[in-house]
Amino acid sequence: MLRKFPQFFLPKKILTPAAMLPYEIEAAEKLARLNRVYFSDPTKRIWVRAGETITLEGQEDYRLYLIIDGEIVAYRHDDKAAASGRPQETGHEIFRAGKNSYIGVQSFFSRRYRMSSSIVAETACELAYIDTTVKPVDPERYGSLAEQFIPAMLHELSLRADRIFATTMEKEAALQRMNRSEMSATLGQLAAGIAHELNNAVGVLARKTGFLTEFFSSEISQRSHDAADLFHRGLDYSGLISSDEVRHLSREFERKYDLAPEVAKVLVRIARTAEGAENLGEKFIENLAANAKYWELGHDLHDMEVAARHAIAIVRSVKLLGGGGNISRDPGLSVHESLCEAVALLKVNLRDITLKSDIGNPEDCPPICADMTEMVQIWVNIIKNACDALKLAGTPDPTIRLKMRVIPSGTLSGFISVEIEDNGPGIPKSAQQKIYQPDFTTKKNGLQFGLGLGLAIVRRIVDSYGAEISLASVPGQTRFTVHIPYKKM
Amino acid sequence: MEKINIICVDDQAEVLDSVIRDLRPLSKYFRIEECESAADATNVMSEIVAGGDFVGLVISDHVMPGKNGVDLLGEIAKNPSLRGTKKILLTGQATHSDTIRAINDAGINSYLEKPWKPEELLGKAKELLTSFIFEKGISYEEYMPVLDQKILIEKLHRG
Repeated sequence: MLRKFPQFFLPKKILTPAAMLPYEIEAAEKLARLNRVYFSDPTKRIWVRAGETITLEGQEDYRLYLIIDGEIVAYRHDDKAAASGRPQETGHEIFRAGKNSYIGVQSFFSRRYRMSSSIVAETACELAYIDTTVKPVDPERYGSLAEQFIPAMLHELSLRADRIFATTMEKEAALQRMNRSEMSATLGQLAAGIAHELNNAVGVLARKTGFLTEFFSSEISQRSHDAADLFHRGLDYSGLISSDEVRHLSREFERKYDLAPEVAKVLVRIARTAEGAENLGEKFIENLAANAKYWELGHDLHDMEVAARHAIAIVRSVKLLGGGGNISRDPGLSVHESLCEAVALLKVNLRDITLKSDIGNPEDCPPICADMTEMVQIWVNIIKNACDALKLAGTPDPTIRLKMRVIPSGTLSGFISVEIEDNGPGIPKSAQQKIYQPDFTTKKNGLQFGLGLGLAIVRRIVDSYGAEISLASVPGQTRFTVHIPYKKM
Repeated sequence: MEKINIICVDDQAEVLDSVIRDLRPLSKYFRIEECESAADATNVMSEIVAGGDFVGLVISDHVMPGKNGVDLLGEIAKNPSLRGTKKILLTGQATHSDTIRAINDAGINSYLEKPWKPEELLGKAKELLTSFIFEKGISYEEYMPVLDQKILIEKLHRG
């Protein structure tokens, strides 16, 4: 029958009779008798201070100990390593034991009288013992000494089995952790290599776009003032009009001003409203009809620049995941400023979302030693996830709250706390454990990037600052809290 | 006289703009509508149908927030008032199963990978629109300059 596994490395607790099986009650009673009958002699007691050695590995010892109070640690040397002449100090910790545990069962009953490990008191300990002078008590009823001590031996055996099991499980987990970190290191190297190559290619595209823009700008300006005006309007255009609005207005403009559909669409983008078009005037619209291509040229260059910046941002994220990039952690960084920067970067994402910002005044925020890009990266990733979740769920009245506090006293004294909260659908319990894994994403069928790198990057940066991140999420309220340490003046 | 519309759907404005520009040679003959989401496309198409016009071709991006391209094209395939509408899926990151679903369920006519070649997109669009015109029995004369020559000859030869 399977039973709940006992706590590793600690002596089995004395269970309440109600929770025990009949054979367990019997064993416990037998152990209780042993302890009472054999370990009550006040002259056979020792007291040791924490750190003191009770017995040494390999040394003669004719006693069997019972821990009355306190905790011990057993150390053992690696014989093979010793034979090869490698220097050894304390040996390896092999187990810990506390109250009601026996020490030296094997040594005592095998009559070898040598401990297989050194026993050191972890805390102040009280131990009772028996030695070779002990006589069996009540042998007619309970049998020989060895027979009477069978429950103690079984107890010891079961503890050892538990220890081996626990060690095996721990090894397995360690191996898995190692495999995982090796995998992410390989992935990181691979990503860094690709990021480097892409960075160069995208860098060339971005730079050459700049050259083209400069060239066209000066050429067109020399030829026609009207064309140059349209070119620059195209270059500066950042569209915030929905395709639905564009369609309806451009239909109106096509009729009203007798324009080709392409030209009408450009007019919508410049004028934005019917009144806007009125204000621009007939002459402007006439010029536009003839020169719309200059607006488009400007707009093309604008798009090229936006696309290049977008690519550079992705390359940067990948580099950050690998821990590369140009990071310099300098003193004097303001967390307040990094939050503002992040919000500015996400202007487009936050377009339809109410942002409630409660981050205090910049002068109240103590400076920390940090890199701006890394700090911004933390906030951008968390806030962008919140935006995406709100949009995807179509949350009514989508809201994101930012809160920053400097904690001068209390248990979290010396930390700056930043909270990012949204009123979206929440992160399911099953996903909460996985969100920091580099391959975890919920955006497989959604937004522009679903690399699953965002929170993995956040985690890496947060860890590297000795900061902490926590998540509390229920439907309607998801809050990430980051605690960043700062030095008090 | 009914108009034939081409609907282009992509959530990324710059990409949408590129599609529109590549189709510009068709703009004298067809009305080209740009939509930033599947929902917007659905609205435009019902307006077009209500006005008694045709939706000749839908070119949709695949991965978009909200409803994705495969789902949008699948709905079009099931909509009786859009029977015969041609469908092109533009995709940047399709998995194998998405591809199968796009062909089997959404009945797409063509599948172009991003970044596409402009002449390929334009050629495909002409080809599909030519078929559409003949299948619907629309008088083809006024579209002559943009019809796919091979299909045209074949149809005329047979007809």
